[in-house]
Amino acid sequence: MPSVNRTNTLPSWLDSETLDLIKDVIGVLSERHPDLIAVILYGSVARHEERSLEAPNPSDVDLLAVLDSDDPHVDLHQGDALFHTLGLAYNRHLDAPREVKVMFSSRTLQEWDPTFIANVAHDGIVLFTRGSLPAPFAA
Amino acid sequence: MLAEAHRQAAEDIEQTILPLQTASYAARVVIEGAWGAAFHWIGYGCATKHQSHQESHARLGTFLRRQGEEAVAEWWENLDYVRQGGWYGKNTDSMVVQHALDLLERIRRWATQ
Repeated sequence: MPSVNRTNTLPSWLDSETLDLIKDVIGVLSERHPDLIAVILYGSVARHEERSLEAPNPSDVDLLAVLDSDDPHVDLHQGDALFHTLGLAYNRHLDAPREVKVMFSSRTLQEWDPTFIANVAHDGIVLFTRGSLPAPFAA
Repeated sequence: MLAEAHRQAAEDIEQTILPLQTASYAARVVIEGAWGAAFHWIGYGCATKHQSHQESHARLGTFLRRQGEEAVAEWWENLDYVRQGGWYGKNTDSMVVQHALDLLERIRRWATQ
C-alpha cells in the first residue's frame, strides 16, 4: 500500500474560502478514488500571478489530478464518477470566490501536449501525493 | 436572450456541428459547438423550469447548483472540461468528440423534458 503524503504547501496568497474548497476537492478525490496518485496546482495561482478578487474576472484555481492508470481516456471512462465527486465539494462551497477547476491525467501523461506538462512541471506545486510521482513531476 | 432565442441558438449550433462529427479535422469545432449548444440549452432549460437563467458561462455550475440542478451542473462541468482540454493540447480523437456529444444530449434532454 503506497504511503500517503499530503504536502503543506497550499498557497498562502489565497483566501480562506478558496483554500477550504481546494482542501475539500483533494479530500473527496483521494477518499473516493483510490487510484488518485497526485494533485498539482498549476497556472497563474501557482505562479502567484493570479488576477485579484477585485478584478471583474478573478483567476480560477487550476489543479491537475493524476490517476494511476495507463488509459489515456481515463477521464472519459471515469468522467461521471469524477465529476460527481467534484460536485460534492463544489456543493459545500458555493460562496468560494474563486472557481477550482480540475484536469485529469493518466500517470503516463501521454494524452497531454508535452508543453502543457512541461509548464505544470515548471510552475506546479504538489498538493497531494500517494506513492511516486510521474517522472516529469518527480524531479 | 429569451428562452426561445436560447432554444433556437442551440438548435442552430447542433444543426451545424452534427454533419461534422465524423470529420477528424473538425473535432475541436464540434466540441466547441457542443459546449455552445449546451450553454444555450441550459439557458432555455433554466428559463422554462426556474424562470431564471444566466447569460454568461462564468460560474454556470454554481448557478445551476443554486437552482438545485446538481446533475446538470456535473454534465456542464464535464463538457467544459472536455472543451478546456482541447485548448491545453489534450488529444481530441473521435472518443472525445462522442463524449462531448453524449453530454450535450443529456443536457438537451433535461432542457426539453
